[in-house]
Amino acid sequence: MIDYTEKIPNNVELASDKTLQRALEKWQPAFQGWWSDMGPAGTKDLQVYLRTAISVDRDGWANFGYVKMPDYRWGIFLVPRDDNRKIAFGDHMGEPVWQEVPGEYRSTLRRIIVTQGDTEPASVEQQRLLGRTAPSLYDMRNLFQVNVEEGRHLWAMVYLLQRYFGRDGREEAERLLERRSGHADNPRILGAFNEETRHWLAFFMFTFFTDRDGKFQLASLAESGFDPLSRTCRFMLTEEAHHMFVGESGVARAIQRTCEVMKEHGLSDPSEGRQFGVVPLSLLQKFVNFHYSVTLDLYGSDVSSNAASYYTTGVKGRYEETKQGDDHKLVGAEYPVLEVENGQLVEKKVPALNALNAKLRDDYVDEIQAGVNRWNRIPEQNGISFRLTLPHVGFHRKIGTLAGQFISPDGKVMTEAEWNAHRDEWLPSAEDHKYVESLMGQVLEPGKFANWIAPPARGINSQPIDFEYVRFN
Amino acid sequence: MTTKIQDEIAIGRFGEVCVLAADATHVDAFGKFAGRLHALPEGARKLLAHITDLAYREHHDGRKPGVAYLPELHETCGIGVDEMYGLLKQLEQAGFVRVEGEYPFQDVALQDVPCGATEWPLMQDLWRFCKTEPISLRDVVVDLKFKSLA
Repeated sequence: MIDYTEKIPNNVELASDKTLQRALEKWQPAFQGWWSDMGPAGTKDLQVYLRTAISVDRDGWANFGYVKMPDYRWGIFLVPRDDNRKIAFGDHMGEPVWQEVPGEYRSTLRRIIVTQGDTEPASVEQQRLLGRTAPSLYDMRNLFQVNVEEGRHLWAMVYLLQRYFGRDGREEAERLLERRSGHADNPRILGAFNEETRHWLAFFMFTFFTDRDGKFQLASLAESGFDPLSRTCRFMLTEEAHHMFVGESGVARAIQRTCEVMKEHGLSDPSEGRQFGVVPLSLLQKFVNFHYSVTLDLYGSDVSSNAASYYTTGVKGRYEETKQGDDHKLVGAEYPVLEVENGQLVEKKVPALNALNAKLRDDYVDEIQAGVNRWNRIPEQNGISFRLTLPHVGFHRKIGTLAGQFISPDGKVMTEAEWNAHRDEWLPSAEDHKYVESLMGQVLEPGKFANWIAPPARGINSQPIDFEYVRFN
Repeated sequence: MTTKIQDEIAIGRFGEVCVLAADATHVDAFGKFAGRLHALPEGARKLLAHITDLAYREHHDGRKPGVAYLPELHETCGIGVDEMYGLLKQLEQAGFVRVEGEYPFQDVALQDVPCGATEWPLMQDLWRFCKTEPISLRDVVVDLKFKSLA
């Protein structure tokens, strides 16, 4: 007899749910096969100092210890149920939340869960080769921590599909393991998740910019009237927080190292640094431009009737819905969106209900700007005048009202030819990627770090920086 | 609000366990501390309890007492980077912690409280008291249940 609590840590009474057990018994081997084929490469025999969630209690979700990667226990956790929780927005506002899927919203909820779920294995696939060029054991461990948690988030979405959506849900769960990031015939659902993460700078940028989109989407779904989805997302958010820390601190350490080298060698030109094997600040700016702009596209069309429908039906709320000081129905409310008219950017007021994607994206931009401001403290502390900036929201967009326009980072509408003439000044070129890839070399000695990145000040879970975070057996 | 809390505070047991004089000076210092705690939002109080636990539990990394490291806070409490900085600012403004060092390499140091003419490492004593009794530090710091200190 299988001990489900031991094998799959959970707080969803898996041991007594025969239907769910049968579904998971079929899906789990397929997941393990996918992890073996598409998870972090070459990790089968590694012992990694990981944090494993074994419960949602304060002391249960952060258990540290060496884990053999394939033996990581992917659990299913929802934050505890609040029997008094009410729907906080839309037409059902004030009604008790749903513990089962309402028939009329079944396909909408399934599509949302599948789209969210698809991003989780996608990012693992995108990052599967990065361990081979890890700048330190500390960073390698952080990568694997992110990877196993994205795997756990896939489990969380699969639980919802299998538990609440019957045969359709089980089939969708199988498809989540069949699609492949970047595959020509069977790609992942969202474009940004089909781009290869080619190096560690891209990984750190991804976890800062793109995982934060995940945070905002999860936070909106955490407001959902479908309570199991809400409770699942609330727990996922706690793990997502660490991923963004990995991204922010990773980029910060790259900036730190570049600034140290500039100071040491008396450099003031932000394009310099290559001769000393670091990432020039101007090149970091190009990566900021790229990752920020492709992540903005993940929010979808600025004006969206689907987003309005999700909101009015109580399926998906706004970021921090309960903190918004309005009627939570948005009757008659308006929201500004940008468009290009006669070669000029103009602001147009549209019904706020239809602009919920734009609102969520704007909340995201505010938070990203705060992070960039923190990064800018580093050149400031080092007496370097360069500052990173976020490009205009219309820059390099493929989705939304500004898609297809040619807008410079400072917000000037250009012709295609003008824009293309500057492209390599604004976005990483093939040569830039090649240079960054040339800096990437695997560093396996405990406490040592690649030249392009500064060591962190502190280790993980009170361990020293030269702790053996990954053991090779 | 502070006065009301001060009126209700009795720290006899706390003083006994931590070998403090549960005199008027300590009672007054604790009352002011409790008032400041009460004025904090619950999220900030939760973070303060977590910082205290990380700062005083047994470590093998030779750290100075009363300090929690930002990376370990991020990894063990599930609070996002931005929210964390917001809460730390509230704790810093209320005089509970001091953020030391320069971004991105910062530590969080717990602040002693004024007690007569001296400084009192109250959070350290509170942590020790809760371990000894044992009661949950969160009961006191987050839920403001001060009766167990009497």
